[in-house]
Amino acid sequence: MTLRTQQQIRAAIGYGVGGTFCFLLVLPLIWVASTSVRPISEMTQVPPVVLPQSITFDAYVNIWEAAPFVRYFFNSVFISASTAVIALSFAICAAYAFARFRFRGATTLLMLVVMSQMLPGSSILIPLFQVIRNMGLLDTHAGMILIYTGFAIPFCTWLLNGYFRAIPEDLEQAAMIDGCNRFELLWRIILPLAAPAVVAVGTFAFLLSWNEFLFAYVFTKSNALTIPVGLRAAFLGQYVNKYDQLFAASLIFSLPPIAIFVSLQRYFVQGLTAGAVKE
Amino acid sequence: MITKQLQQKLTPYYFLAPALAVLTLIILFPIVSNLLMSVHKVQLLKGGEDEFVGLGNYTRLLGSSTFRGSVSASLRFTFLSLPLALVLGMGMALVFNEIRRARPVFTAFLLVPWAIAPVVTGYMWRWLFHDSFGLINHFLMTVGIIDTNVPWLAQPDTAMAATVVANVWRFMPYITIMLLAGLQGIPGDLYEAAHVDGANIVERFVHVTLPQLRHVMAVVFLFATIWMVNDFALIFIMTEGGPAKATLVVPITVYRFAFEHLRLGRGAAAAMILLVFLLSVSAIFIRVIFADRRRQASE
Repeated sequence: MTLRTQQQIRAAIGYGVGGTFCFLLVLPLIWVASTSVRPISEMTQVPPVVLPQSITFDAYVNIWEAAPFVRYFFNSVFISASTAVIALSFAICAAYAFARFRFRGATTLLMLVVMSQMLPGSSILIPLFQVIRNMGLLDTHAGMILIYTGFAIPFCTWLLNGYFRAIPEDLEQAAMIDGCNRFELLWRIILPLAAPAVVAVGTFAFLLSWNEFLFAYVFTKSNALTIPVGLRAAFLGQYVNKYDQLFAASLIFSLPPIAIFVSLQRYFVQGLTAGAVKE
Repeated sequence: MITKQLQQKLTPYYFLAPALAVLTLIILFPIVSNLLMSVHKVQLLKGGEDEFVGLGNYTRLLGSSTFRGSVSASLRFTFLSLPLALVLGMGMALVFNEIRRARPVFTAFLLVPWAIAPVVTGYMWRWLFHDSFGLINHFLMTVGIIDTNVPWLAQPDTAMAATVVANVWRFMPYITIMLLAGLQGIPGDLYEAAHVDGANIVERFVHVTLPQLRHVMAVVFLFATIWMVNDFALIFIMTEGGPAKATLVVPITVYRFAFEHLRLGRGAAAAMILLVFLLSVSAIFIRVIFADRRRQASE
């Protein structure tokens, strides 16, 4: 057998096995989605019915009537969007400094930034609680935005630094002769060129706070409660578990991350493999 | 003239200031503060000075069966998940590597488990592992592997197994994506050469693929270790650390010590141990990355 025919057989097997694998991978989600469209009686049937016999979209309507869920939804959107905007603007400036200036302590600082990307949230949970409490920001949107911004800045800076470095410096030198200051250079030349990357990085900052659980669980009670924590409060009671609504809400909540990841696939894979794979 | 020079020297710091201010408040200060708390007996309610106790919190912690149990739970959770996810991820990367057309479609599927919140993953697997309404028991019964429903999340060993399954589901796609990117970077002539030398498919994998992927695998291994040891949400939603503390991993213990038993000093000491462990892992990671950069630059 030649290498060529071997390759063709392997490609055929690849599609078959790969397709099956993808199906198995999303099967749990399909099961959960089918739970969300069943009437209660059918949901708690023993043994479970694999294919739903009657379909109802009641759960998707009812979740919005469970009053707190609307608020949790708003909180999630507000906190995540604000985090994305603030973290992004701070990280853009910091990344520009790392990419274009030589200054004392640059390497050390950049190393620290990379390190703090991997900092476990639970390891600073207790002092962070005190910081937020002493600032009077427990259970506030501002408090959560502040924390998430802190956790988003390192990876935003690290990724943007890579993109900025890839932009040739000649463009800026020409503009500098025309009398632009550093800030104008960043705003007028770098940002337009790096726009898609900047949007991608900002989106991941959004997701970081959208999906976060631990801090939201410990630092919020009701006012700034986000969906990851609110799911239990809204749908799992002491006596009744509204599984259909829990999963309807979970799926709606999962749509933005899935849509974002799939549409920004290229940036995501790039960011993930940056530094790990030789180019 | 001097002021202008000084101005220029200060410019980068202006750009860094907002980010550094936030990082100092949210990350740097809490790390230092955590270190200090871990050597004090923290009086939460009484107020007043905290009493310095040296390594007292640490010795108590190491003597406590809860903490030792949680270290063991964390290690079991991580090092049962990792090999499974690595082997499956490698298998899938090899399969996906054969797919030339429409690969983004397949990758899109891979991104789904990785994109959704750990909380959702937790609720989803809790439902799948539900003893009477769950799909998993139903499937195993139908196939004939079990004859009565297994209460997965109510028994120590099966609860650990269930969280590991959910965790592998979540991480394997990440590993596949990374290894796939690595596979793509392997020059095709290496395989041609091996083929000419008469190497069969297994030999080509062992002598060409694996050595070429060494670097990516190191990165994946370290990153996944950090993320898995650090997991709170997935396990907390599925089991809350139970039953009988079987899945009580270190991050959940830190939370319990501090916010349920109000032992802040002890919680801080546990957090410190976690931090030192994970920072050493990431220090290794950074050495690997930076050493490689330097090597690439010098080549």
